[in-house]
Amino acid sequence: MDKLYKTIDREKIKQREKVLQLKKENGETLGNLFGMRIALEDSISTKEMLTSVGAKMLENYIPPFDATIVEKVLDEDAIVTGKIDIREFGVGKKIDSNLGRVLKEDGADVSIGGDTSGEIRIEAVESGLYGLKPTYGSISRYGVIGSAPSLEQVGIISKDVETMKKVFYTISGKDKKDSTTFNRKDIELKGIDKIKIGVPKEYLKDLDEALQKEMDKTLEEFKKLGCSIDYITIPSAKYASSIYNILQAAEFSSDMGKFDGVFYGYRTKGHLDNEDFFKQNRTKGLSIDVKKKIMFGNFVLSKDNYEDYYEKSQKIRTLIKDEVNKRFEQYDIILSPIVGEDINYTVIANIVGTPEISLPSIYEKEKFGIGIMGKSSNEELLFKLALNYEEKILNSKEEGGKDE
Amino acid sequence: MSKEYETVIGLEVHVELKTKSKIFCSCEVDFGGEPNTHCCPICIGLPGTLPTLNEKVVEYAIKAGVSTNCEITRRGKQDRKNYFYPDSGKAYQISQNELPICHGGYLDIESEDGQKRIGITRIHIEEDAGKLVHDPELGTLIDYNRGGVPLIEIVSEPDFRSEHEVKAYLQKLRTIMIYIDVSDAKMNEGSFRCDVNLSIREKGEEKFGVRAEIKNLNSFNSIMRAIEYERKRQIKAIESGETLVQETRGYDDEKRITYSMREKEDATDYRYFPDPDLMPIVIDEDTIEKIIKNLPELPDTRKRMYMDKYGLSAYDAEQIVSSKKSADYFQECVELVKSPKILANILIGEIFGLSTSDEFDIEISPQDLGELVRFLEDGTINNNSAKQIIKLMNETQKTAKEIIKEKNLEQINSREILEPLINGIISQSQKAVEEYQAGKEKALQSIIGKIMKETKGRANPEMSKTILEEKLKK
Ligand SMILES: [Zn+2]
Repeated sequence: MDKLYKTIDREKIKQREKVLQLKKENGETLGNLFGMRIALEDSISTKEMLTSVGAKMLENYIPPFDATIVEKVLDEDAIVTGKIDIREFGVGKKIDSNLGRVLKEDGADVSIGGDTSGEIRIEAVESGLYGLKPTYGSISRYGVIGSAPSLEQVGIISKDVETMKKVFYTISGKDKKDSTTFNRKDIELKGIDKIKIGVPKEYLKDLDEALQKEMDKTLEEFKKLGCSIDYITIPSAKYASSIYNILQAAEFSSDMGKFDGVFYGYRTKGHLDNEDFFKQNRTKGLSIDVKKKIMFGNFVLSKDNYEDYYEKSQKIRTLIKDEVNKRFEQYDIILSPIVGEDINYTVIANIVGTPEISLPSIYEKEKFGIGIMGKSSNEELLFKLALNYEEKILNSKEEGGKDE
Repeated sequence: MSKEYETVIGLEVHVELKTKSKIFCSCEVDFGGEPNTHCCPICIGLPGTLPTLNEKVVEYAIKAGVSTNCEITRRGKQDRKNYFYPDSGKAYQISQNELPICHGGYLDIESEDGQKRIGITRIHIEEDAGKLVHDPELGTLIDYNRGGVPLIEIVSEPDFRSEHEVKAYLQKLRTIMIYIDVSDAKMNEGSFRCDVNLSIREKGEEKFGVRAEIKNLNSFNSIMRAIEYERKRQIKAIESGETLVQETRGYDDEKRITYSMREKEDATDYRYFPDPDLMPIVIDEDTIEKIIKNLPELPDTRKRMYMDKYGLSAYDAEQIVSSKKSADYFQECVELVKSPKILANILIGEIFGLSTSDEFDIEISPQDLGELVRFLEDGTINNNSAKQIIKLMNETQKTAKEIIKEKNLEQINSREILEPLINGIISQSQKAVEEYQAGKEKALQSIIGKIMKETKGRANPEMSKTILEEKLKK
């Protein structure tokens, strides 16, 4: 099981368990996440523990500080089990992510990682688990080495909804080290039979048979719970992945500039001057996939292309936001399929900043799932619907056997 | 016939703000500490760290803006300026490109070339970079203490036509920064830095010439010299048919020349874009009003008051307000004397020259100077002795009263003492007497000179003159 981790220190875990045990025996107040085993993506800074972000550039990098979310889970008596590998800086060659597998094989109770285009939700779906990409700004990104600051939020993968909820409430909130964060306020909750679900027609085109069946079944079950279902349109959604590619590359290219080998990270020997030093470190320390992204980002930010690419993408982003928020005036939930590798279904929540929970499939666990997206700051309603899904739809189905 | 040229100059001034902490982290802003003792993961830009804006920086920028007649934006944003150089840990500087805190201001200046209004294009906030130290043995080292120190950049319109105008503007701008207490504005320590953009065009031409940006200027003198040199260089190039290139030039203070550092600048693409880690800067009316209300008196306000209330000339008033210290000094003294004009003359003529630095650093207390001026006013001493006394006050820290007594410098105001003395001098100055009586007024001065010499400068000059005139008319 340890091989699912990039870094794991059994000795440290044991020590931590002992400390917590003692705390319990001494009758001290126990934290919200007492004894919960949390696996972290290797993009989250951990003091005294390697944080490589899948990169040769950071193969020996040990941050001198903990990310805010790490401080928070430790304060609440959780156990950080170790670090799970990620593709190089989140954009390099695809690797098998173990954020979900480590939960399935019971190497941890919860996984935490970055969600920039749907990674956490897709990973959860592919492992038959629950995934949350919360409202932008609800969880501090301080210490998270991300690939696009305006799109990324820290996400949570869990085996059940209650655990996800608990972790979310523990790690969310205003962090004075991250000025994009805020203290969220729960929006008034409504009964499950008052929930209005909108399903964008755009997402229903060309679904394969199995996924169509899944969608039909899910909607039928939600209807049974009393939710209303309508078909809606979000015309600009079709631009989502295109503008994502542009905005992500732009922010990424700038964020990546710091990896030059001066203060930390991979550095070569025998350079001619400053410029040569940078060149060599970056040439040898970064992969071709990362370089391509940087080049593309530089291209869209360059003076001649800024207006046509970066600025236009920002305008379309605003358009998509407006359209989605308009739908939320009438609907509480926008529901869509989630299919691995197709960010089209998931990236819209990153572009708009809205929260989304991915639900595991009823029929074909680990192949696809269902996304329920809510208004900004309305995680509470998502949890409620997800809990109903878990208890009344999924578990009852399982009890009744997989085949109908 | 040789053509007439015009020098067109615009300035970019960087002012280091004296906030307690840096612009994006809680590190202390402190100069002269051991290298790399005032930095943290944020200001060296470790992966995953995020900037959070120090609100004081915005407040200080607004202060600078309202003191230079600028409009204040209600919604600003911060942009990343991407570049590779080891003085930045992030490979970008957080600055403001599109929406600076202040824009559209001006300063009225008074220089040898007359009065003029200089436009201020914008004032924006940004972070300072670290310092590279080149060590012959260890190679290039980086001191990050300065990295993340808040700056405002004040960009002027290309309104200057001479180095005198530049100097007057910089002095005034610097004084204002000190008045409003946002910076120490010390040129030699780098807390007030100026880049000069200079181009040449034929007189009457509307189009701008090819400009050079001159950097590494760390005193008023080097700025003046660099402008002079660069103007000559460009004119020479134009006249010999050379094509000037837009470039960045450094200034070598020893050789007193400018030299090409790199060609630029449209070639450098900083790929500006809004920093996604920071929220827009929202400034409301109340904030601005509060800042205006609490703003200290600015040099121009004081200058007008000195002219209206104390009857000083514009030139004298300008001189006195040119440093906050000297203006504060004047204000303390003026309460103790009857004639602000005499005080101003003494201050400008005698005291300014005693200052040991650019700042008005004077050993004589305002109370002691006030006393001296009162002695002048009531005739206890004359101007001549006043000069001597001030010199001694500065050297010995004694009061005017003590020095007058010690050195016996009291003015001789008694007719009984002066008359016999003058009689004697007349008899020794037959030639001058004849000349005077022949209508040559000037000759009288040489006789008065002799009287002053005889009395070691203590004779009351007016009284001596009156006596002399009486005697020679007879
Ligand atoms: Zn710092």
